[in-house]
Amino acid sequence: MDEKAHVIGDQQCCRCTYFSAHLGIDDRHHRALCPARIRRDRAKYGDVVFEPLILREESIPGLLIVVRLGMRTLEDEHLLRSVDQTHGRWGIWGFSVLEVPEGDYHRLALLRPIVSDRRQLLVAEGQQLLDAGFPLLPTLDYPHWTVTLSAPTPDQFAHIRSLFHGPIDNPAYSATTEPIQ
Amino acid sequence: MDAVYDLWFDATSVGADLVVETWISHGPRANDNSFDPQPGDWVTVGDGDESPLPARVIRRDANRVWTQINIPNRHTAVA
Repeated sequence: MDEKAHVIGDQQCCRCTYFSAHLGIDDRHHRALCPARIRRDRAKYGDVVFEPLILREESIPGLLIVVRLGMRTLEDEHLLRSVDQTHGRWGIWGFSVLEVPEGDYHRLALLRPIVSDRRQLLVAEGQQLLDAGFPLLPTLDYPHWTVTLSAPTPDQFAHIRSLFHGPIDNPAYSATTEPIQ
Repeated sequence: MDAVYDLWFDATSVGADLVVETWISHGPRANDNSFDPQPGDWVTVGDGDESPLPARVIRRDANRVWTQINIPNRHTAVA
């Protein structure tokens, strides 16, 4: 393995070129999969034990509108962290989306109070995600779904991004928060 | 929006109870060996979109930290 250092932002991640050499993806994407990084994190934090993946008994509705909260949430860096956490939890690559119940954003905000704290949203149609080869799993409690990817690669990230539109202004946004000083 | 916070969180994965799982290794303090959040501690969580929010640590498992977000000035109606 090459001893060239990888630098992610201002942080040195590891000293290998595993990703660029073997997978052809850039430095930002090797953080979750780099063998040296995984070994280092396991040594520091211990092994992660997967939780059982329990699915709701729920079929995909004919019209399923899903959202990601925030306008930067599908950027590579953010998406990689999200799929990394999903993999750490269940052993699958995926990320969270929320169903908009019958297109009612205010009802969504009642089900998930954090929604009213986000100014902008990215929106997709569930069927388009499915048609593009990204299965939707009814995980956790309603209205949570997980969009699954076969691998956390830049191509898949770009593809999934292309299926979302926005950002749109959040109809359920309620400006009640003050920045932390 | 670049802001200073302790832990990065995915807003879409926040539960109905405002609890969210975060990873120290994903946050800006990943290399800060003095950062050792314990249940009961207050931290700040951010997602790069909105201003960071205060959150209380409710569970810790090595790299994984579960926090309950406190949305300031938010009065929750409870039946």
